[in-house]
Amino acid sequence: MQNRLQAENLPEAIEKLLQNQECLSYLVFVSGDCFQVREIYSPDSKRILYGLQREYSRLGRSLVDAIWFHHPAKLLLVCGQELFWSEVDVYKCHIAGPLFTDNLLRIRKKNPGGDIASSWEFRTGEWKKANRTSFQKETANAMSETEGSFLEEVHLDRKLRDTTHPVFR
Amino acid sequence: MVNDLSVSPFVLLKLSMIWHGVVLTERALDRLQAPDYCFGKWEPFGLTNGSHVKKVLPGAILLRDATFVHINYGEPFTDPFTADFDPETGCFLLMEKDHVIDEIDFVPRPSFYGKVTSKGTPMETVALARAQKLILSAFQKCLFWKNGEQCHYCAFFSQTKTAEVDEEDIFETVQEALKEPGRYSQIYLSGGSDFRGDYPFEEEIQRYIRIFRSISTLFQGRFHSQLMAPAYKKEDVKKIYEETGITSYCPNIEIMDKTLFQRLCPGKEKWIGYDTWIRRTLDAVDVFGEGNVYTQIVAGAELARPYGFQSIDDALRSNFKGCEFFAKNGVICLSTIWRPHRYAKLGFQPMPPLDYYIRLTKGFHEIRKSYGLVAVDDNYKLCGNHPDSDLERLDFSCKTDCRQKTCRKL
Repeated sequence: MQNRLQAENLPEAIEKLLQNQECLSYLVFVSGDCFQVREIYSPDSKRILYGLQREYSRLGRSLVDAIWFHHPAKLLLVCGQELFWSEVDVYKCHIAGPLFTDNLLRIRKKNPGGDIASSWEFRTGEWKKANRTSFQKETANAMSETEGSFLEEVHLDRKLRDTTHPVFR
Repeated sequence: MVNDLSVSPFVLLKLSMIWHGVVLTERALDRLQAPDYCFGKWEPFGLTNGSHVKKVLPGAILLRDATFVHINYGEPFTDPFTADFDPETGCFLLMEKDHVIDEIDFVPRPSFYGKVTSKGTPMETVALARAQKLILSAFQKCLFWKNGEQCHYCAFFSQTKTAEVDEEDIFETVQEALKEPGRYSQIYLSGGSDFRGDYPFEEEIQRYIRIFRSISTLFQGRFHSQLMAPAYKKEDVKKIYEETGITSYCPNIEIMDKTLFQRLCPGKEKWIGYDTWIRRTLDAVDVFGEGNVYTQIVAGAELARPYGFQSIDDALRSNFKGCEFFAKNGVICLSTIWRPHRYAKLGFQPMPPLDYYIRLTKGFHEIRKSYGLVAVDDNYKLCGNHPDSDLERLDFSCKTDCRQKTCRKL
């Protein structure tokens, strides 16, 4: 197994930023591609989960590239003029199981019609504080999560005929 | 472990794991009996594995990137990997002797397992679950076996006693399965071959239509689904498409070379025939559209003794030529890996070298990519049996040149 970041406790300040609805989150990949991401949180104060909307997208490809070839990414949390960042190990892709379901239900709680294609587990390293301008170039050119997507992915329980779900009682 | 830097290490690991096999330690097997992982006691496709193991065998393995690895657990592998459980971290580990290769996971137990239909049928005898795919079996016998005309590499249904699955049981199982949020992205229907009827396969076709029609009532419009069945006449394929909500069709050629097909697939040859199988597969594209008709090969069986190709280069040439022909005609041709099985006519014999599978995986991926075809219905998540479609996860750029479903909304 290659040397990987361990799932360590997140600093309290970072946890707070992750919960702050007004903070913006960005993922920056080795290619230089930067994406503004919305559904990012920690389920256990250690790991960070990100709910990817569309697999067949530029962001989907970047995540696959990062996990396949162990390319580190950066996670930026921006709140006003404050910016915290950490190197990110794109550690695991969940398409079923407790973490995937937790991520999905969290999204559906906010938006009953919501869905995710997969849930990505990140492990972070040391968090550093920086001036917002240090990542000005990346964040100014940040792409949307669905950039380049060509297939909308919806789970079958979201395609059911009406809302008397679970499956028409 | 093999090393090819141009291919996903997870796909290489998958190929290695299937090739070498994986055995479960007692510790792992014990952990896999717990309610979050414990799989069904029955196997709806009658594939008998590990009969000496008293505990319930788990679902397939999921690698860290969610690559799906189906292992015939319990077979007598000669140099297998080991799957262990580490109680300290709560993780499963893939080991090569004492060396940890990586963290792995298993397909979680679906919530419909352990439940019964209104007729008292255990739902796990009707359906099988992968990470995102619900697999239904409509007919749990293959009538080709009756006269010894089964495909020589096949071990499906070698041990099953029943044949037709009650259609209401299937419907109720689907209903129950879909209560689990976000668990399924595709419903897949298949079964053993049943050539009975006024014309070959008429009863089977009617059965598939009835089942899919009833499932379709649950959905608004078409829903991500696939029928894996013989190559039917165009009018039957049209009927299936028009009367149900399905989205893709998969008549598997399985052996690309004509002479080998005729030898290794006597039932398919007798009831349909090689040329007709191919023609009907192309005809289905007129009904389902480009990129929505699939076919696959059982990769490696074409090299099996006594009939197979003498060299892997000849086998690759034959398979690449076939894959390209299908791609040119809008059909997605995939590879799945042949694992010798004691109940199959070919029995146990060595698999072709791992290098063969790597070259085949890369070649199939490249051919389809050059035709702008993406296996969205048979990708790493919806199927997982095809290492060549696993590689498509880096190919998002087909946006501009994709021949199929650009911006398709399901």
